[in-house]
Amino acid sequence: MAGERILIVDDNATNLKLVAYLMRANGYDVDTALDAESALEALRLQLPEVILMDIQLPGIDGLELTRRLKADPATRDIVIIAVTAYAMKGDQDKALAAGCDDYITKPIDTRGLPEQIARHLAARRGWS
Amino acid sequence: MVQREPFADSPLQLLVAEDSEDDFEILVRELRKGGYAVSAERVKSTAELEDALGRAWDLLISDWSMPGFGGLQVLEAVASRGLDLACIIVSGTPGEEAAVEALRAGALDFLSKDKPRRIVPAVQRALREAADRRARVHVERELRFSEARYRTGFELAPEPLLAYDLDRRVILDANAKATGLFQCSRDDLRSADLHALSPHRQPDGRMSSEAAAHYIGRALAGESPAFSWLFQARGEMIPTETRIINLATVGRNLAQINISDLRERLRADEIRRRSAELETQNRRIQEASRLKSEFLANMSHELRTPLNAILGFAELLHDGQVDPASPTHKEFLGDILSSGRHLLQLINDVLDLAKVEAGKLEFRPEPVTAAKLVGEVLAILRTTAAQKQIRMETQLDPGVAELTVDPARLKQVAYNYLSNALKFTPIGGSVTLRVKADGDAKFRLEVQDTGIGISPDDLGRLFVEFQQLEAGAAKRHQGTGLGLALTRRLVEAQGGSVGVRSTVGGGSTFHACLPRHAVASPRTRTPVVFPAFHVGARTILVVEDDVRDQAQLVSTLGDAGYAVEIAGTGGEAIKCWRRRGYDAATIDLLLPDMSGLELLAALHSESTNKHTPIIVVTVVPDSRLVAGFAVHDFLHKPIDRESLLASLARAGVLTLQPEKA
Repeated sequence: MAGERILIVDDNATNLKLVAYLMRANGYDVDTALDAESALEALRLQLPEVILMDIQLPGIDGLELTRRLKADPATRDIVIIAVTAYAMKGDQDKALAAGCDDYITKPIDTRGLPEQIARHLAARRGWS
Repeated sequence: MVQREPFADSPLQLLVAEDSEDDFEILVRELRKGGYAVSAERVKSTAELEDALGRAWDLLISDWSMPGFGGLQVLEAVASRGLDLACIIVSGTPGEEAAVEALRAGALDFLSKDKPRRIVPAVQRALREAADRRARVHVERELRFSEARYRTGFELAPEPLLAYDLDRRVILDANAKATGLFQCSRDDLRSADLHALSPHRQPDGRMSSEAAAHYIGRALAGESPAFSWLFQARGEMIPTETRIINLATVGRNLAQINISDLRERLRADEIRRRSAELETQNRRIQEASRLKSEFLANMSHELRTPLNAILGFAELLHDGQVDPASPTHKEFLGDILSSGRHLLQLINDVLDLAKVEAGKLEFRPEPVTAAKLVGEVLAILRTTAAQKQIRMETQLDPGVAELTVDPARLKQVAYNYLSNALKFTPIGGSVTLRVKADGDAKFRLEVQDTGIGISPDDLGRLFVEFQQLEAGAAKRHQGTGLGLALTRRLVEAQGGSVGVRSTVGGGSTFHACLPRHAVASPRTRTPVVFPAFHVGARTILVVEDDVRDQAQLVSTLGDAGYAVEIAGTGGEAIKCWRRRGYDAATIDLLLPDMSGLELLAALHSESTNKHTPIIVVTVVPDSRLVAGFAVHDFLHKPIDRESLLASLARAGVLTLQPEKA
């Protein structure tokens, strides 16, 4: 799985730093974006296998960005995992309804997250 | 029906019962000579008469004695047909007996054939009499008809009606609805007066008998007064709209009283009002519940965000994923620390917010200088400002150098405004803090920045909890989202106000206005009502912010048998003043939110409690301070029990109950 590309979108710089470090430590090539516009910019340069998507973003939020990416044939196959501090009932449904492939709440489990992502990638490889 | 006079347009339709052709001719000639156009017909027998009576005639003249039939039979034939026909009898042999007989049988006149000159006047008279009689019959019939119509209308009217004699002041009649309303018989109602059907007093306090007399007087003067009236039937109160309609009958002042029972309508109104109230309440509860859920969701989000960094970095370090000797290791520890501090700040803000909400935040005012206080806040933020190369300026008005405030709370306000300003001001900008006078009693803390500014749409949400979340790009600037909301509540709880002016791209100016000399924490959010020791106790409003003085006044007045209400601030005092009447008020001149003179002016400008004596109780030993205000008395603190009670007694505000032993 080494060398696979992951895009982390989070408007909180500290959290972005944390997840980026974690993913790099697990062998991923990491791109980061603080908002939807920078995320789209990064996607124009290179398509990742996975996006970790914060939902609460300034301007275009994570749900809207997910909807756009899932509607575009060029990006629809990217695994999108919602990572959000919104953990109330209904937030998960909203994320899945927008097209997210998975949903995890903050605080994240640094020990479980790499495995969880790996499972998604393995499944994707399995049926592609 | 028309009264026939000589020279009338149409000829006189004359029927004559006469056996003599000559006499008939003489009669007709006389009438024509008298000016009548005559269309005459002569009958000589009962058969001819019967036939002729089938047609219309103005006048019948009959001979008294004719062969075969006579005047009496003629009159009887007319009467038996029920005809309204004027009849005159003429006779060649007049006699008194015959005349009496003829008049009794319905003749209008009895004339002698010997005096033909009399015929014209007699005809004139007879026609006039006949016309009068017809008119009278007509009027009577109309009257009977009208009365029947009225009776039916009265009896079957959909609302209760009373026929009333305004002179004798008694009810003459009542319709079915009225007897139903009062639950008694028509005879019970007859001869009763209005106030006998009413409670002793009307809701406005007037005696029912006096009030009724007033309206009856107006009806007698020709008016038809309509008014609200409370009746009473078998113990039940019946609110009504009542109208006395003067029927203006000749010689007698009769009226019809229309009553419209309002119970149904009031019940319906009450139900409508209650359901509207419930609906509003329901909406309010739903809104509160929605806000609470939103608050919880936001709270959860805000707590999880720093926790994510704390736990995440700690896990990385703990699991040995970061080389302990590397600068990254130290950096991550720094991130844990700052996220932990952020979390602590968030929790403190939430707790403060909850305390202010519950009115439990204590303020401890003490004399401070504005310069020292501002300096302390700036010291905390200097590093942040330096990092962004933001110039920090202060402008302090020497007129408000000395303040009596809770220093910690004022610093909190200044810190919140300043740290916000630093967040939203780009590198190289400037932030200015000003302290200046705001009227005589307040000062204004102002923080101006050259930041991104706030759109008018967002201004209203600024001071609301967690609204920062909605503020788009602002999210990049870390904050609890509670700072401004807390600031507003802190300031308002100290009797002040907050506000902001801003233009997008042109920077913002936030301000807080507070009393220059806060005296104590206004704890009593709603006035405390000390138990009225007995119903009807004289109530004194005590405007006093010092707790010990409050306690002393309450016990002094309470022991003396007065009921006491406390207002801790001028604002509360004004609210109380508007809400109810007081028998007297004591006012302290040093209040946290306004000067005593401002309060006096405000109370005097209210429409309530216009004549309530005001006793000023103060440490300020100069009664000239309140010159120009209608102040009943001026007492010095410490309060002397005897002089306070004596002052109330002089104002005529005596307790209704003997003093407690």
